[in-house]
Amino acid sequence: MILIIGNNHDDVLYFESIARDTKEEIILKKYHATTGFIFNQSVLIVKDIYTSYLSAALASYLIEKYHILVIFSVGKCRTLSPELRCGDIAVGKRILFGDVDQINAVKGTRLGQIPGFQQSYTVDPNLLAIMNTTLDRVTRSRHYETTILSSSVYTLDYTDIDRFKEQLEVKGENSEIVVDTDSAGISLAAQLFDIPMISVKVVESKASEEPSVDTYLRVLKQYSLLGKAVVSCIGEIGRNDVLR
Amino acid sequence: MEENKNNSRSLKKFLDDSKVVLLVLSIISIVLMAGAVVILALLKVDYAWIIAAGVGGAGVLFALILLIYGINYVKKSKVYFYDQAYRVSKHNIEALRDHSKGLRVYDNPEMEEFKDLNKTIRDMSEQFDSTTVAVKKIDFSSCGVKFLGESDSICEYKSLRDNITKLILNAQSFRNAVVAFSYDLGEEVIKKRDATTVIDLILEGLRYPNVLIAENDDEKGFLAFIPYFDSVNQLNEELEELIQHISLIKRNANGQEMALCHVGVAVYPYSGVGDIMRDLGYAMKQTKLINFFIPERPMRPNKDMLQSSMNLNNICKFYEKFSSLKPNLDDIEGSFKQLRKIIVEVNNYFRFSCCGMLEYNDAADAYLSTFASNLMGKDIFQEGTTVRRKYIDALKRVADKDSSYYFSNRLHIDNDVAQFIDVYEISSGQFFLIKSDEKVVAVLYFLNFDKEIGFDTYMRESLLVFSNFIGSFFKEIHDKRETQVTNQSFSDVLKLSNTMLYTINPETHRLLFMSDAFKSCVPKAQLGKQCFKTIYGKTAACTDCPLRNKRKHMIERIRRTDYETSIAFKSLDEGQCQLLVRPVDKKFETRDRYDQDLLISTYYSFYDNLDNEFVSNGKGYLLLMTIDNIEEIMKAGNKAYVYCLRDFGEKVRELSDGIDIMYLYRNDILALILPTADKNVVIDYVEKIYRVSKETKLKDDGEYYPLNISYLALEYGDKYDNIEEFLEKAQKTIIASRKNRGKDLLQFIDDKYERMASREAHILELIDDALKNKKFKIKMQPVVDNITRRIYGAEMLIRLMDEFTNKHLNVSELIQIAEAYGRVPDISNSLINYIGSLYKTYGYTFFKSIGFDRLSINTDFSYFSDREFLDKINDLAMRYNVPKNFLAFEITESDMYNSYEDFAQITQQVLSTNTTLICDQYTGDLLTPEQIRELGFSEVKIPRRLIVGIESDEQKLSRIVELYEACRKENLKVTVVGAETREQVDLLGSEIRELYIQGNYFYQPLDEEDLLDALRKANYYEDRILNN
Repeated sequence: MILIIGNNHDDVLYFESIARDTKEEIILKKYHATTGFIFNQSVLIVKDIYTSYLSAALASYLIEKYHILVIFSVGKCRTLSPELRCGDIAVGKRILFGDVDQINAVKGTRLGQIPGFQQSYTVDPNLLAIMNTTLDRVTRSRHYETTILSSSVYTLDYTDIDRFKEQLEVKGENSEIVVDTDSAGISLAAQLFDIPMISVKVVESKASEEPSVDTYLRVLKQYSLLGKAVVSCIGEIGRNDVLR
Repeated sequence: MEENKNNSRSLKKFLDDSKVVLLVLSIISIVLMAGAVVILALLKVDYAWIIAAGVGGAGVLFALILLIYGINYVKKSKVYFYDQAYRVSKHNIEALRDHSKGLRVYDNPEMEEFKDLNKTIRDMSEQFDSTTVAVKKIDFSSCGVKFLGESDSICEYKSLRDNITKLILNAQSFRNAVVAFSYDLGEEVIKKRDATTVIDLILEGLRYPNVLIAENDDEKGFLAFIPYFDSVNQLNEELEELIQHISLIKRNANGQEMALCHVGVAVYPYSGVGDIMRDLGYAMKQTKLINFFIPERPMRPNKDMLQSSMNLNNICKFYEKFSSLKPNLDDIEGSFKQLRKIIVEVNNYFRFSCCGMLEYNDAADAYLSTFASNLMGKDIFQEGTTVRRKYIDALKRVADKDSSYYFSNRLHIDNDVAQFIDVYEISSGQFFLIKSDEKVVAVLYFLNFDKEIGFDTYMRESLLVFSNFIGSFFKEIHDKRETQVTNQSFSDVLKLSNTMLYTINPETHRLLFMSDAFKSCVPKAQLGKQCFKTIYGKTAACTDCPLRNKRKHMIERIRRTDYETSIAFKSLDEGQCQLLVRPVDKKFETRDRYDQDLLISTYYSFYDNLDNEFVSNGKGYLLLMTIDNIEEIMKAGNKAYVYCLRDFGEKVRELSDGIDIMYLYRNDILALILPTADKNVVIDYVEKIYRVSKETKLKDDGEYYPLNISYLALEYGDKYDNIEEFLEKAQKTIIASRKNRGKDLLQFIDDKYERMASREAHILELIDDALKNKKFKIKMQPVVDNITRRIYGAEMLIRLMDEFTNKHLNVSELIQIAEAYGRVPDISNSLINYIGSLYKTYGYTFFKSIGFDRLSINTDFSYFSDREFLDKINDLAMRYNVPKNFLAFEITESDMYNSYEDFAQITQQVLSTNTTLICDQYTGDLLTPEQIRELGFSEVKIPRRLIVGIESDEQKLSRIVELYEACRKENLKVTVVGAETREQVDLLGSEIRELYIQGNYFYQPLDEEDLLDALRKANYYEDRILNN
């Protein structure tokens, strides 16, 4: 089964509308999930997931229960990089915890690293390649391979995350940086269960600015394109036996 | 029975009597008829049948009488029981159920029972006049809303929409909102599953209790009612967040795309109960994602609804309105006017008998009534009267900590103030003490002399909040006025001592303050500019600047004199540095620039400054003002003379923003130098100076002692070689103009023109001259029918020109002065005569045949206060056979709003003369179309300012369309004024077909001949084409 996780109803609306033979399921007595088929692949669509805490816990549960083969994390993000604009699509090439600092707790730990785990979670290169290809096909909008910093703290002040930026720049990893709230948790769960995952998000605003409802229309348009790309990707996965 | 003729009747008696009568008649007729049968049967004689027939006949007769009586009884009973007891009672019971006023009385007061009931009904109606019924708990069960399934939130759309009024009235203790959510799905509709999801998300997202929601009948949106929310901003934020979670999928040629929700919100009490759904429709037509429509309509209580007679939610509207008012500290008097208006509005709302302000007066050590207003024709403290201090001290002792003293009736008064209350015959009310440093500087009062107060806590606290607000407003103005007086005193001290002082910021060198003596020395220096530039004419700081050098002083030349500038005082903390300026040559020090008695610049200053103008080849006007009644003033004593001139000088200084431009030319002649001025500037000054010259005083608390001034304006410049030549001319002019003294004339010597100095008198002269010589220009701007493009009518516009200034007079000022001096009948006669003569010449032969049906005149309420005008209109119809509704009056929406009650009394009289009433400059912000209709107006004109920019702003066009539709629902004909471009006309015409348009695109205001030409071309040509 393929898992598609979003923050809210709008994030996953496209997939719910396109899936066939959909059924509503209640997960853990709280979450309304939708099962169905996209390109003959069975999918599980879940929403109302906020923060890496919840996304990690729920993803772990779902992976075990539904035998998930691949996870797509979709929704919105905010950009720390000046090059990215509202409406651009960010594909997470690398994902880090932006709110974890155990440097002083456990020797040898790096910034953003949970002791015992890697610092950053890298997406499966095949999956990344397919996503980029399908994005190129379905949209002329700009899409970028980015580093995603997930923080469970919603704030307009990201000065703390500058430390991450510095580190990444020093290391020569100069990809664009965006922030969201849940990708890192999902990638942690995926890594635990050795499942490929990819996070594809639409940039809604700069990280230091309050997103405006007036620009939401632009985001919404991109949701459709992003949906098409993810759906195409699912189709490719089915055809080409991409997954390990 | 003879009930109708009997006055002291009782329904019970009627019923009892009728019962008896019916019974008796029945018995008699039965007995008789039975008797007849018996006789016939038993009496065996030949004539038995005769007897039987007789008895039977009598029985039949009684039966007939019974029948007639019975029919009459039924008829009367129908009236008593059905028409009165049932129908009137039904009406009254339904009114009580709906919390309406307007209880009916029974129509048969001759019946004791009805008389008794009518008394009770009248008592109830009186009580309802100031009663509010407020529902404490939200309970929708009686509102007629049908819920779907088991839900207590999701309801049927029609029942929700149709019962919005009841829902609002049920929750009227709170702010309510009606929210419409809609999606642009093209041909598709919302799927059931999506609808359920979205409804759940909306209910979850709104987070308010008792929200009701329904899916629209067209299945493309939802309607929600929020019975309680806190703030508009908060609701806006919540909606902004919500719409990012409730998008839907829309299918189109490109496949699937997401459809965003579009939201419109109307809020009660900003929108009235009856207007809220229409306002919601207007909000939905706007183009933003979330559109709140918050109109600025007046808070008139709905007279027919108990629940809105003292509508609790209007309190928030009041407070918001007050919060946006700020005292204008540059116009103290204007600010006091605003304050008085607020006090009257609050008073009208709470329905106190009277209200006003008592202000502390230092001289009398008492409280002077400076403002009083009433609703009942009687003031408790009339303006100008004094209230003894001891009474206010008593109030101060008994007032609460919040500075208010509130008493709902005479029984609840402290002993200390009882005497005061009784002296003034006050029965209930509130005093609010406005304090400054614990001293009561003013008392705000709302009082009744004839009734008790029945407020609940909410209303009482609201009154206190408003009083606080008014108190703060007053204090701010009061403190500023005190500061101005203090500043002026400081300035006067500097002037008296002839001190030349200026203040700069030591960091930036910007000029912060100049003493009057210094301003006079350097008249072109400007505050805010750098001192080295504006005083010394340099581009950089003086090389010897006292701020830099150790000696702390420097010598620099200003104009043609050397001055020593030294630091008097430097305050580093406050960023200010005071610099003292003295002429180096001591002899200049003795030349006073100010007359220290009169505080007016001396002749020396005058000469110096005028000389400066000549040296710099300046041009402008010298205004010489001769005080014609100076001798009377001097007879009043030297003190009076000094006070009067100081007062006048001060007032003139205020006209020129504190700059001294007036000089003492001679003891009785003052001079103003007006550089670069033209005759319009001179006229402007003279008119203002005239006004203040009538408000001078001879002593501090004295009455006004007007100055009679003759004004001579001489232009200086190239014509004169030097100042001496000019002054010589001035002198000769003064002598020659002696014959015109005492007439308050302004003479332009070079133009040989004279006029009244007073603006009003001058305009009045122009009006009289125009009336006498028929010099009023009347222009007519045609109104065009959008469909046929024919000229339907025209608006008449008066133009009166001041030929000297070559300017047209402002029409509203013209009318104001005409009204003040009783010229309205004459002007109106002229206009009516003009219309009459126009119609007489062209009416039958031309206007009628060509379809020209209207001439309208701009006016305001003051026209209608002149009753003779109505006679003239009737005369028009009779003498010139002007047909019905040919004549129309246009009155602006704001005038209607300001004089709403007055108009209500008069419009029927105007309409009875078959004259049409048009609401001009209508925007919908102040009055609803229903209110306009109520007053008897049948047309509206939408002003130019609403249509400017409709080509590029879709929202503006939507607004006009919405306004139009609202007006059409009330059968109001709509004209749009100010269409200037083809694009505007096309846009309007395409959105609204049935419309009248007036604007320069079609026609400018035309003379009579041009109008006739235009009519021929537009209407006659069309006729020919149509006929052919």
